[in-house]
Amino acid sequence: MTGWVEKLENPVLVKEMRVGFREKKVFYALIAWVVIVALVASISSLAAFEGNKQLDKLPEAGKYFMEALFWVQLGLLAMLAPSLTTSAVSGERERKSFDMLLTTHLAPSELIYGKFGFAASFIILALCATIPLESIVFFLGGVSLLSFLTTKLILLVFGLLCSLYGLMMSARENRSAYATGQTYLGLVFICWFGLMGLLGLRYGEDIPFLVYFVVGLTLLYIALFLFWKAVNHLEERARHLKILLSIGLVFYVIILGTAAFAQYNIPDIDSAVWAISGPVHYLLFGLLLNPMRPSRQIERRRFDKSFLSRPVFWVLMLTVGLMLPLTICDDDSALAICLYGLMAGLCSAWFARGLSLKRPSRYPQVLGAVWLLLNVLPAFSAFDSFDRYSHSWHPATISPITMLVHYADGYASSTPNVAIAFYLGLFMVGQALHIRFQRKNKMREQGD
Amino acid sequence: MIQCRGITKVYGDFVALDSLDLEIEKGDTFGFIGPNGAGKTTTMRILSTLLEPSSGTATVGDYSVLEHPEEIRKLLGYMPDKFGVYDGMKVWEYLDFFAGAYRLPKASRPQAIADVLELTELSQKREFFVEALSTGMRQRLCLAKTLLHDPQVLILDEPASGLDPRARIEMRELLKELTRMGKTIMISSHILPELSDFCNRIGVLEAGKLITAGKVDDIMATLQSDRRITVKLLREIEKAAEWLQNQEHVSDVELEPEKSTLRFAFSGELDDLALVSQSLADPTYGLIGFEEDKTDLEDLFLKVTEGIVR
Repeated sequence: MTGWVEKLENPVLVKEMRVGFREKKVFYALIAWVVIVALVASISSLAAFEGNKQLDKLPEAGKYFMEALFWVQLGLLAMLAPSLTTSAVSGERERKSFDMLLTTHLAPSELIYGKFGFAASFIILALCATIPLESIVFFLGGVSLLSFLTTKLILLVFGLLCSLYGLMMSARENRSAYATGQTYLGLVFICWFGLMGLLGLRYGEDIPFLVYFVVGLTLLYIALFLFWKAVNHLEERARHLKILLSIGLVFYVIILGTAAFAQYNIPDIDSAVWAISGPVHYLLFGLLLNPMRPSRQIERRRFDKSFLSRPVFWVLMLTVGLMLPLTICDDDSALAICLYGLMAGLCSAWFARGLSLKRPSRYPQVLGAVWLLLNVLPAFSAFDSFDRYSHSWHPATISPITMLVHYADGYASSTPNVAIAFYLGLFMVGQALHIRFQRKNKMREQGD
Repeated sequence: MIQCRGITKVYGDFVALDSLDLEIEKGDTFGFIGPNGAGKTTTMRILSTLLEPSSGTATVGDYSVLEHPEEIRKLLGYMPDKFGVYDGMKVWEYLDFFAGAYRLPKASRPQAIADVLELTELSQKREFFVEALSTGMRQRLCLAKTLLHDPQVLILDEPASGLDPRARIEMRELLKELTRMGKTIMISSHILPELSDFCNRIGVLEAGKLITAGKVDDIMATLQSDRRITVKLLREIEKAAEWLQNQEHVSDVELEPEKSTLRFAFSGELDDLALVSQSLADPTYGLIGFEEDKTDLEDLFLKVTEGIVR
């Protein structure tokens, strides 16, 4: 038993706890956290009571009070949580202690887990520290225990994801200043999207439990993705990439299964299939857009031998991956869907092929980003005109593809040639760039 | 124990290491010398699995640095030239952290920590915060953490850099002790006389190329094709110099009358040198000193690297 517990012990976590909680700045941060929340609690309680002084209106005041505390803590977490990790790994590099850590028997995943463990402990501590303040809400009413705990859970998940994002950036960058800058810049965008989802979930009505389930799964997927990306930044392994891909596929299957279940068992929920499968496509695509090829010789050899470097694998994965949800959704536009999947798959395969070059260039990311932007941006512009029959709101069917779907559905105002030409064009540009970079690499290798 | 075959490391157009071949036997204490930027640290980092070579192979204890870095890390203790310590940690906590990182069983950690503290003479500082230690003590602490898992191979990159003379002497004694313990040590240093004290083999690296490597005495002998002899005479020093210039195997005679000293290079065998000394022992000259100049590691280093620079 002792041996088993010993195996679970993480020296990095023990060290971080020892050093971290001794630091004055950690103590001051916790004090500042409680003071700010207390101030907001005081102001919001006064505001809540204003106009809700009658006994029967106290639950309204309770709700208002809880919401105020929720949003202020969310804001504070967005600022505090990443700062706990943005110098976790880059700081080791700056301190020149990183090499010593790498020559120990610690696995990179243990290092990341230890660093993350400390951040998680602090976040939990901070969230617990404000419970006495928040408990006033139980005197006022209006908020159930379940709702209270859900609020805390949302804050915890948000904080943990922010700190994981900071940790991933810290593992990627050599300097803490860069890691911090990139983390907060990235979080501005991520929080914007996250906030929209959060508002929808928190204030939306009659949201099925399945949606919460899928959102939870997606968040867990993101957390695991960030964790393994951080590990892979520390020590590139073809094995890590397979783990990342496996995580993506497992979650994809679970979410698709949930969507299929919802499609056939819950009336009028088929639009949710689109909603919940969309983000997963992009997470998988995001995986592709990362420079996947390891730089270590031995790992590169392993990568080259593995299926990960085969364009045909990516063609199949992207094509099938994108077509499946469309098929489940009982759509009539089979031809358009097939064309869409095939074209998207081909393009993506060439991005992936580019990544398997000896010196990965940036063009796969650039082309991928173009593809992503062309799909996502119109989706937001069409957000207001949501109609389950037109598909015009769904990211995967907007852009040139929308024309294909519309055409197949009989709504088309133009021919699908434009879409086909677009993807063929993208494919050919990818091919041309690929050949160019291959030649360059060959010349470089000959030069070496 | 350590083998490098044709190791090359290229950063862009800069060749940091150029086809390095090196072999270090078990129990050897190998001194790695070379000017700044010669490629010493790059070699050490490759052997410590922190860098991978652009081409060539390297093994430590029969394990390839490319194929089995995890196995190598079990055998090896690496002390970098520049390292940071964690502020806010006590000395024993610092070592306890690394003991955990080296997977030492929890029960054996206190003893292992006590042992390395004693070896590095830091037992008194056990409860001190790391940031309160002097530079020399920090160096010793870093060495202590390197020794925690009792590695067979030690790679020490400039362990005595930045130390005051006293701390250097202490570090040297510590390294001698490690040599006696039978560890295979690869050490780089700029303080060459110190290396000659306990290294049985050396390698001279310059501009990424290994100029020479082998036993210290063998290299000295190879390089000393001409012995430098210093003679002290009380009388007739000019006459002795004139006589010497006409002798076989003698060249480069230098005269310093104010010091009553003669210096010359001798390329013959020891028997021939004995004849010269007998001739100079004639009472006419009043011979009071006849000795061979000793070439130390610094001279050797200058001698070896000079040609490349020029």
